[in-house]
Amino acid sequence: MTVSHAIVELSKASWRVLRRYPRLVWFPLLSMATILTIALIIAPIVAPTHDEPSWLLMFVILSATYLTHTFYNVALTSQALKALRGDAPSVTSGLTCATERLPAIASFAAITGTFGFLLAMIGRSRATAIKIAQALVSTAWSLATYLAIPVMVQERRGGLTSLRRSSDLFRRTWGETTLSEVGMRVLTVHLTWILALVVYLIIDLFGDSFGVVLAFALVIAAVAVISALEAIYRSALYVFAAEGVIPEPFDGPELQDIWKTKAE
Amino acid sequence: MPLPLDIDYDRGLPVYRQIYEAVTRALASGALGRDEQLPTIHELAQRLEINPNTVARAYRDLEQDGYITAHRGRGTFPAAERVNSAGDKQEILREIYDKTITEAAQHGISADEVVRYFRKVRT
Repeated sequence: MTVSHAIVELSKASWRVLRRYPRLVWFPLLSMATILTIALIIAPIVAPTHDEPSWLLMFVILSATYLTHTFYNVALTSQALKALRGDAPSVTSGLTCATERLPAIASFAAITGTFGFLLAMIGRSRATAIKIAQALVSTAWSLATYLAIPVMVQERRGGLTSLRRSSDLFRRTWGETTLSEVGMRVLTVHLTWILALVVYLIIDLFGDSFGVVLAFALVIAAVAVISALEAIYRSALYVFAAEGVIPEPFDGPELQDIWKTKAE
Repeated sequence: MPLPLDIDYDRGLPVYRQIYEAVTRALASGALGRDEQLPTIHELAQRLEINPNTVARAYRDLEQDGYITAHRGRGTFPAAERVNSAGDKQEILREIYDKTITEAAQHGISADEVVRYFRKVRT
C-alpha cells in the first residue's frame, strides 16, 4: 500500500465516523468562535499605544489561543473516542469532560505554548542551519506529543505526564503516527489549494461583499471538518497504541496493511 | 461478584492483555466461580470506558486458550477445568517469582538471598 493510498483510506474511515456523528464538527467551530471573541475582547485592552508591536499583546493572545484550542480539542477527542466505541457523542458531554480536566489542559497549554513560541522565535533566524534544525525539532515535537490529548482524556493524566506517555506510545506506533502527521499535512495542503480555487471562483461569481462572506463560511467549515477528521484518526491511533486493538471502522481489510506495528 | 479489574496504563501492557490476565488470575484464585457469567463485551467496555473491540479481543484470546467458553444466547462462562486450576496457579507463581527475582537482581540481591529471606519471614 502506498502512502497516498493509506492517507486516502484513513481519511475515508475518519469520514465515515464523522458522517455518522456530524455533531463532532461543533467543537472546532466553537473553538474558532471562542478564539475570535477572546481576541476581540483582549486586543483593545492590551493593544500597543504606539506603532511598535506589543509583545504583551502577542503573548496574551497566543496563551489564550493555546488554552482555548486545547480545551475544545480535549472536548472533541473525548467525544471522538466515544464515537469509536459506538456511543453517540454529545457537545455537553464533551464540554463537561474538558471542564473536568482544566488543570491538565492549563499545564499542557502552558508547556506546548511556550515551546511553540520559542520554536517560532528560533524560526525567525535567517541562518539556514538554524531554520533546518528548527524544522526538525518542530516535527519531532509534534510527533512525540501527537497522542497527548487522547492520553489526557482517557487516562486522566496531567499535562506533563500526558506528554511523557505520548512519547512512550509514539515509540510503539511511530509508523502510524508519522503517517498520520504527514497524511494530515498533505491533506491540508491539497484542500487549501482546492479551497483557494473555490474561494476565487465564489468571489468572482458573487461579487466582493457576498462572495467574501460565502468564502469565509466555506473556509471555516473546511477547517472544522479537517480538525474533526484529524481528532477521529488520532483517537483511533490512541486506541491501537494503548488498548492493542484497531477500532471500527479502521479495521477494514483495506486498512490492515497500515496497522503493522504491534502494540504488544 | 464483579470481575476484579482495574486498568493500569503505566504497566505498558495493552489493555486487552490486562483484561486477559485479570480473567486468568480470577479463575486461578477462584474469585471467578465455575457458574459465574462473565460481563458481556458491551458491559465491560462501558464499565472500563474502553473500546468494545478491546474486550472482544481479550475474550477471543481467552476462548482460544481454553479459559472461557461462549454459550450462544446464555453468555460467556469460565471453562470448568480452569477454575482453581493448579497448573494456572503454578503459572502465576512463576510470573511472581520471575518478577521478584528480576527486581531483586536490579538491587544487587541474589535469588538465594530472596528465598532465604522468604523462609525467614515465614518462620
